Amino acid sequence: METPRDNRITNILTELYALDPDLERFKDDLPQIIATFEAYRPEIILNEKFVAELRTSLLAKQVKPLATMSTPVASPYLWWFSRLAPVGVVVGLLMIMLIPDRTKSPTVSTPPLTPTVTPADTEMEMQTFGAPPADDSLLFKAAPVSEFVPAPLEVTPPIVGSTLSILSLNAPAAGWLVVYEDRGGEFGDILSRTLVSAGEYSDLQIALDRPLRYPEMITVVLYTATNTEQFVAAAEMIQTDPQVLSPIMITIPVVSELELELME
Amino acid sequence: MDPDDQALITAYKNGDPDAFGVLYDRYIERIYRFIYYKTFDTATAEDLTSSTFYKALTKIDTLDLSRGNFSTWIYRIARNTVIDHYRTDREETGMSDDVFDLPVDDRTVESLDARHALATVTSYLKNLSAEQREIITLRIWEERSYKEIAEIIGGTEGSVKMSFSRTIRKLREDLGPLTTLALLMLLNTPVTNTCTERIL
Repeated sequence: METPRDNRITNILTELYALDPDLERFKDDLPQIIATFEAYRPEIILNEKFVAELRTSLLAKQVKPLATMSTPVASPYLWWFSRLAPVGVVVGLLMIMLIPDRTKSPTVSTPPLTPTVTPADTEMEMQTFGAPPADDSLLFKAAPVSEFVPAPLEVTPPIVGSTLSILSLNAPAAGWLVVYEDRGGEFGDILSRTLVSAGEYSDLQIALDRPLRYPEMITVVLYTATNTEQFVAAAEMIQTDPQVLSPIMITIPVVSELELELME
Repeated sequence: MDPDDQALITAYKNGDPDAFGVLYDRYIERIYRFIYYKTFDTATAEDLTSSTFYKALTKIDTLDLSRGNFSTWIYRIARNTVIDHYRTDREETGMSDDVFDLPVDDRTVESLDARHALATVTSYLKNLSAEQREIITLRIWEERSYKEIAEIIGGTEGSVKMSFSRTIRKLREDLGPLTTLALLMLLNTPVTNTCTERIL
């Protein structure tokens, strides 16, 4: 009875003879040659730990949509104000403590302690490029505080390190979240590229290819497909075809630990 | 019935992130083996296998199923990853980009048995061109069809068949007539039991 291995060898030989009938002259030797090669196939033992770790790492690269809506944020600006308000309180208290007798004029001119980060400094520069998306909700808009506008992409102030926190993300369609170096307003190297399924996300941790430095600027772009038939995934290609996608872009400075402490 | 590759890719593109895990489970061993046959080094094969799957994950949305299937696509990625690896290695170290040019001991093959088996295989294969070796290993070791081999290495099915046929003829001429006794003597080297059992 023929084994599967015998069948494979027979099939190979049959194809060979059909292709080159002259090879049938060696029909006593060719089965043995094929069998010899087959027998000397190096044994491969897969390292199960490697397989499991690679699988985990690959699947972690994908981002799953949250089952529930993340906490709504009234406006991207409100997020900054909500975090800078406590800074004002802290600064006020510090000033009170640093001026022992406010009834006397200071003899030493001490510059007032003010936040090193102001709303103007930290205001995110929001841009879109290429054709404007058909869906107007994709655009960042300044809105009255009372008006709820879901923010498509909000980035927590990035600090020195290899991880970037995305506060919230609303991907209307599948796409890519790409982090670039910012080189004077131009895209620099890609620091991270993450596939994103459509959905609402919050508190995402994005691993970067290299640690962020201080000071530097980074640009975070959410590319989503307006036409899934034309969806090109590689970020390099996306840049060259802005008509296909509706990118949402935020350029933001890396902050120092001191700035972060003041903001918190 | 397990979903086919096309169904899994469609599911993944529609937002099912688990679909890629199924594809991974299906291909990890084949791709690792394919790369190992080109490197004969466990650590390098693991590194390049990781790179291959990361590239596949990053670029899966560019895969046009009307122009090819996932299987040949990921084999092509693996092949190019190995080529890039040796190209970089050659630029940095000046070493050959063909693992068959190296002495067996330099390939960090772990066991003595494996080294013997590899030495025997190498003695057969080193006189072939890199492409001929690739076709032989893909056809006999990897059991890929001619059509798949053509898609992986780039070429036509006819040219792959022709190359395979010529390679077998060359091997027959190099080896001369092989009697069963000669074959058994050849196999009387300390290769793994599995190998010996298979041929007997």
